[in-house]
Amino acid sequence: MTEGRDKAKRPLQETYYYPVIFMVVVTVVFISVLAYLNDSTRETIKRAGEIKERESILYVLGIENDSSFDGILAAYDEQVIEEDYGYVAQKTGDVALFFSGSGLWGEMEGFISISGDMKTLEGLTFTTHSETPGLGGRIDELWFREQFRGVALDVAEGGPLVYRPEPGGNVDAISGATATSKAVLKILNPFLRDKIDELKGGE
Amino acid sequence: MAKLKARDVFIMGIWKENPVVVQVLGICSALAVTNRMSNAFVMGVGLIFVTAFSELTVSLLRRYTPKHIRMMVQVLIISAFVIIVDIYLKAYLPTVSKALGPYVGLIITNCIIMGRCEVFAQKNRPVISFLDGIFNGIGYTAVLLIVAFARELLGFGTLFGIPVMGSGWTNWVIMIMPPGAFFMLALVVWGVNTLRDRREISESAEEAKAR
Repeated sequence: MTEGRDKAKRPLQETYYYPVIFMVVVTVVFISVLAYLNDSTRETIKRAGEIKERESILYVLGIENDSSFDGILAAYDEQVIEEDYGYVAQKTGDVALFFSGSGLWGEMEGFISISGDMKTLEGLTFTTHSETPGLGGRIDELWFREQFRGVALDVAEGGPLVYRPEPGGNVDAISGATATSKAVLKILNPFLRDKIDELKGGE
Repeated sequence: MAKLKARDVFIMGIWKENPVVVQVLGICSALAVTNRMSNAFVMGVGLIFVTAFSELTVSLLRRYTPKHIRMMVQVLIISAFVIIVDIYLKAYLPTVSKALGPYVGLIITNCIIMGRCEVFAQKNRPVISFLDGIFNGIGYTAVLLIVAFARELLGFGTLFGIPVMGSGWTNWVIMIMPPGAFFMLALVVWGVNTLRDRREISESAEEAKAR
């Protein structure tokens, strides 16, 4: 490697096929390494995703756990019943529902839970979103999510969720992230109205 | 080019030719990820890793790479290492991966890596290229952390997410908005360059005296 450019290689380097072959070889080598890594970590990533999802469900249902992988799995297995319309907490009868919609910059997904009698909202969390970190991204912060616990679900015009200081306001928006805050309610309000109708009609 | 020692590369990467304030590279991400110390730190670590290994690989292949396709090869190498970082974060640090979101992919387009591969790794031996990558990465990370320190402190009243300003502190929202990044980065670049110029003037004055 240390001596100067090898004179014998020069003609080969200048042939028209050498660059093509070189590029193909380099590409194959790198892609193989990546494919191997991707394959060997796929299970870990999938499991982490599942655990993350279960943690979110436990959070919206208000079920305590120690946040360790095993703790989450154990609490979930013990206390959550998977029904076809959602995830039901064994003790309280609250139902966690998966929702999705468009945020400001992309798809938002998450879980929301409502009480068994469909009168109160019990929790909200986001699993994926692409809002601006530090602004819209603050929807992940605890103070924002916690204020959705115990909000009365009054399915009136424009409700059930309204930002203060509007009349009938029951939650606070994020200052500096108006568009994201609006997007959240634009997803949640129709979702809640439809779900409550659906669940009530189904009983 | 004279033989470079690790010490020269260290001084160049961190101070004399700092990638952000002197070469003015990697400005995009320096603006985008400096609203919090933790974002800046993880981005910096990712960049150090990618730059070092990309430079090492480019340097190893430099004698066999045809000149006119070297850019293609460099982009391929850089992308591969960024994807490795991305996979690693997803598998072993899912929370960090989630917090960084799109930023990891942004490392690919960071001009520092391409710039150093092109300017340094194409002409130098593997080990010294690897070091050049590490020190340039540290130089970049240092600037990011300085900017993020000011922005997070004034904008959120926290450092690494720990509240330090007390409850009476009013957050300067402008600091966490894009304009805050521009102001802070400009101030840092100005400050560092002024310092460096002064030092160089005093150094040359001392040399003149010595003569």
